Amino acid sequence: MSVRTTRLVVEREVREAARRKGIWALVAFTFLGSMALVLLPELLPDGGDDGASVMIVGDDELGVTAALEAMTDPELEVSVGDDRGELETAIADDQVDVGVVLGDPPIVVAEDVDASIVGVVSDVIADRVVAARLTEVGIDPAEVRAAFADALPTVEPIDAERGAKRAAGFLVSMVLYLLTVILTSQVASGVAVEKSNRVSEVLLAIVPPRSLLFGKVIGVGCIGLVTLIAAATPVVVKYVAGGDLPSGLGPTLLASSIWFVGGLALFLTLAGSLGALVSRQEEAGSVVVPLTMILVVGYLTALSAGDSVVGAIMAYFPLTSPMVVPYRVAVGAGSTFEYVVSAILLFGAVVLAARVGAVVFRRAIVRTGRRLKLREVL
Amino acid sequence: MTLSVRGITQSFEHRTVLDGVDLEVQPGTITGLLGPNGAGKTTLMRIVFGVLDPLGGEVRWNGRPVTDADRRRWGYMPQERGLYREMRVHDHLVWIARLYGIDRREAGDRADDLLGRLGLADRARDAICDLSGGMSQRVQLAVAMVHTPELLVLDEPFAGLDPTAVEFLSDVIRDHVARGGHLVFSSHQLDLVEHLCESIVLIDRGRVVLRGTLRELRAASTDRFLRVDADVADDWVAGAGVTRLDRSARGTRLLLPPGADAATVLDDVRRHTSVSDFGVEAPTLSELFLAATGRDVAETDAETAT
Ligand SMILES: Nc1ncnc2c1ncn2[C@@H]1O[C@H](COP(=O)(O)OP(=O)(O)OP(=O)(O)O)[C@@H](O)[C@H]1O
Ligand SMILES: [Mg+2]
Repeated sequence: MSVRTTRLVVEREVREAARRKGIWALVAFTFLGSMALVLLPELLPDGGDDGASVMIVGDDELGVTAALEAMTDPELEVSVGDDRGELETAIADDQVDVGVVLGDPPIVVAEDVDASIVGVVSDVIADRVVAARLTEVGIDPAEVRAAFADALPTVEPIDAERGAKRAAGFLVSMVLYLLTVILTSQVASGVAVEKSNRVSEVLLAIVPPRSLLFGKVIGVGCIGLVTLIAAATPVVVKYVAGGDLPSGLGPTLLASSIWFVGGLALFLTLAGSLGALVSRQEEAGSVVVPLTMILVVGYLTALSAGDSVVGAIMAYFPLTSPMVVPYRVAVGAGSTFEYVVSAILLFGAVVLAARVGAVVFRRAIVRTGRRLKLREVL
Repeated sequence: MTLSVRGITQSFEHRTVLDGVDLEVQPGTITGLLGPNGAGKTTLMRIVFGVLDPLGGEVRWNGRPVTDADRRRWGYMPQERGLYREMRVHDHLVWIARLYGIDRREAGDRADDLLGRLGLADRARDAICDLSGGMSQRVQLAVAMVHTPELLVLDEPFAGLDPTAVEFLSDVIRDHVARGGHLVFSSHQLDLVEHLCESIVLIDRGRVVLRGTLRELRAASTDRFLRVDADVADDWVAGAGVTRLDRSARGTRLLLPPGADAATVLDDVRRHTSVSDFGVEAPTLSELFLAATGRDVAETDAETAT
């Protein structure tokens, strides 16, 4: 294969693409989407961190106010009200989150009784009440606390960031899926246009068919990479600048790049050779339907069952792994062994597709007139 | 150097479209590959360029089988024009030249030069889809010539051109062979290209029916025609065994029977009407085709069209 002619075909593909507005719209769209993903958490007011506020009314014999003020996690803003009426108005007006009416028994007043802050406040009051009763009967509350300290349950979240990881996997899969689908049909229709308006006939007299096929695949692939870079730049910049990212996005992006490049090479090569089967541009869409279907299956599997057994199996198949593996990396479902084998199989498939695709392309591109069946050219 | 095509056979879906066709193209000679629609001209040219592989026969260049490297020194203008429609004229030419291995600067110079010669200098920055049909055809010609090929193969270069453009293209063709280049072009419009061809290969239904230089072929034919600038009715000349061929605005063309005296026939006509211009002529290309196949080119075209 002539490297020089392939390079020229790539160059033309990229230069002509750069002159089309659609490409820039796609790049801008993914860039802005990624910016939004990175910036929104910074811009939105933070829900939990600025602390909750508590209003206390009644005689504070138990030292509840001091105990609440001493809290650090979460930090509480404590105020003292005159009576229960004022307290309820303050809650209704959203000036405070929780009210405490001290008495016998104390009452915690809140709009949302399930909120964790209600539990925190109740626990503090209960602790003060128990301490007061224990002191009354002559027991030192500190001793009791010490006796129970290692017997009380502690709360341990299994994977606090599971949600964030899934979101990262979801987003990355979606971008890769959309991009692969768009570029796949772009290659097929590009080849079909060249065949139908006979540019290919002029070019075939000058360059080998392989240069035409791989030039187009690499050229369109470059456009895909530019789009991916546009999507990744805000994330990387934020990461370098030390901002917090949705957890798992970093490794996911790395894995995505590998499987994206491999998947793109595979799908675009197949699309290019299939595109040579049709004789009119309008038929190009239908010839890549099988490819698009496989992509949809891979994508939906990644989303719905990416971390299940089905996902684990599909991670090995070169046609589905580009969609499934980045998701599995994001949620941490696969093993290193799986990733290595999957990558080897994927790039092996690329080499195979390039060989078979070049034969199909060479035989099909000169047979104009009607749509060919794949087995006619194999 | 000679392009020599030997015994080319090709069929599509069991239908033979070329049946042992030979073609020789000598340098410095304009060769016409002529024949009605569907004769197999385009198929033969595709085979010459390796776009199609023939079932049988071979293409030789310089006395040995042609290679891809040889073909890169040829230029091809396919019948169905093939250009990237959204590309700009100048960019397209430069890109094609670079595919041939010409460096960017040189390619730019050649594109400028060719566009100037083809009268397209002011359209160099336009997208090809914004050009008229005749203009994009000239760009197609420029694409075929941008690397100063040794052999130019033009498939139906005259189709769709106005008379000035036909003249212009004829000059380009003459110029190419005058410099010692090889050139073969195809056409189904025999009368249009007859003045241009020096050597012809006439094919019909995939077989060569006539070949040689036009002068020899004409001389070899015993048919003689009397042209008069008047409308002639059949019965004026019927007695002498004369066949009236066509009657047009230019006058009438009469086929003389072997051994007939043209002057007598002319006198027969002048008894009925006045004649101010006349001539005794050898057969035209389409008359040669008719004599060789028993069929009219125009009729054959109409047959294939339906
Ligand atoms: N790809 C193809 N598949 C099937 N039949 C074909 C194909 N290409 C050409 N043919 C057939 O081969 C025959 C010769 O076609 P070709 O295009 O070579 O004729 P031509 O002499 O160039 O005619 P025209 O003057 O109309 O251009 C025709 O009957 C045509 O239908
Ligand atoms: Mg033709």
